[in-house]
Amino acid sequence: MHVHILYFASIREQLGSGQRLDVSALGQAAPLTVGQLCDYLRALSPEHAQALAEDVQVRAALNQTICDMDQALAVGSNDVCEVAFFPPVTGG
Amino acid sequence: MSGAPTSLPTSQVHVSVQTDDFDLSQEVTQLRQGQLDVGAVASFVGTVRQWWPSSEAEPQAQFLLEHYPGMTERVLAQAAQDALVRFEALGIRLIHRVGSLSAGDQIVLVTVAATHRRAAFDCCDYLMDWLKTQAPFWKKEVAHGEGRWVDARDSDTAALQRWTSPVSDATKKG
Repeated sequence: MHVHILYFASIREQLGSGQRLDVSALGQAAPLTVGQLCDYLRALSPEHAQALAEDVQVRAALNQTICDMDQALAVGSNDVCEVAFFPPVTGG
Repeated sequence: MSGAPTSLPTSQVHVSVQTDDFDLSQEVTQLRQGQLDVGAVASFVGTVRQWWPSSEAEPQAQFLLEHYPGMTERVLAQAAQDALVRFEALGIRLIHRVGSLSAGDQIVLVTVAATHRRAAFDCCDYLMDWLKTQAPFWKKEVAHGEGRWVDARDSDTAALQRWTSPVSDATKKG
């Protein structure tokens, strides 16, 4: 399964607009939830750890719908899903 | 990204995420077009407050608004449609600007037509509370060469929670 990861606002400034990840290739380490994916990304580099730190209050959306961190990623190995990570919204 | 041609009948809900400015008077005209059962129109316009001390000149100041292309437009349209049904409004136009703005610029418009005033006021008020806490937009203020992402406010979240109780009868009659 491929995950198309998008970053917005302060997280985008630090990590770029996003990245693509072949989750199936990670085997046992493959994240099963959005929160586990966030943990996996945090471990990639000190920059990732800082941009996605707990105190950023990272929010997430799966396939363009706001979701909790315990939201399951898609099941089938051929699926492509879009996961976005961003700080709390400040529109209006 | 811009509004529908004026020659076509307007739908009940119009949502736009755009870099261009908007004109309140034109939007209200579009909203009311051909709807003779409208008895009330309530509008809210949000503007960019100056974010550096007013005594200081800051010609390089920038106000940046980022969104999630695709998702933002979709969730705004859904929220406006839901609000239309919930408050029994007759029409809604919602515009949110993105990109680079300046102090004093218009940033957001919500205008609602309804049969009676209470529904128009409440629907407009609710949509702004929803937008502040649920719509994927992020603001950044730049002044004196330093940028700062605007923090989300707990008071905005509390404001949305006012609407979790069922709509009162007063809302429907007005």
